[in-house]
Amino acid sequence: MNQLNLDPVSVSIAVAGMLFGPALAGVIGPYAVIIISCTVGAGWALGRRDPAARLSAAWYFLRLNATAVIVTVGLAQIAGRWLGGDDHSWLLAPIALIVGGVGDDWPSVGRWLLQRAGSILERRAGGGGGST
Amino acid sequence: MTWQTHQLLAVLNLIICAGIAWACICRLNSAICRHYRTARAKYSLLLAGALASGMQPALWGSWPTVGGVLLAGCVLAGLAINVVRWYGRTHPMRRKEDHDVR
Repeated sequence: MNQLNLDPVSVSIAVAGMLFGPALAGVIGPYAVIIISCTVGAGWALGRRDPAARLSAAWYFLRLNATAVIVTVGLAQIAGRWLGGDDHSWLLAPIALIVGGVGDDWPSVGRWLLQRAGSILERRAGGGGGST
Repeated sequence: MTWQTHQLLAVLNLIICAGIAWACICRLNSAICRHYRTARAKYSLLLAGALASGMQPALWGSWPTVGGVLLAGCVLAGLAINVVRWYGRTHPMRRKEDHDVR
């Protein structure tokens, strides 16, 4: 019968074996591309904003990465369904890049989208309104 | 059960890459990166590279090599050498146009 070793060294080796082993890579799979793409985008967003405390910058970066990990797969599925086709995995990288790159500017992006949608609806309702 | 060489290399590589990532976050959090897009792109890409390399056993299922760890160490040393240039306003290697930005 195997005896469980609970001394700190054995536990640290077991944790390292899990973290630094191919077993986790099999589970993480597509999230690798999401994390890398979002890192590039989050770095860009971090460079764009006003300088702040270092820990706050690291927190901002982690927050964007966590957001991308949570929402990217869902957004890719929605976008893939809208675009058509079976394989949506190619959308993961660009969507993660956008999620990270926009950063904290999502409210302004939302306002811009609403304005665009409003003007399109206005044009349809008014029959081409205003562009002469 | 003992630490194997490839696991030790992976831990060392992770520590070095974490240092590179931290340096990049510090640089991206500066007025220079806010002013210059090339600097912003440079440190964003280096940050992504550091993350990809440091987390490679978990992300890609591959182990870092001795050469890869040495390269990461040299990149970190290069960043560390530049620290005086980033923070010393009157450093001779600092560009004249950057004297007013930090």
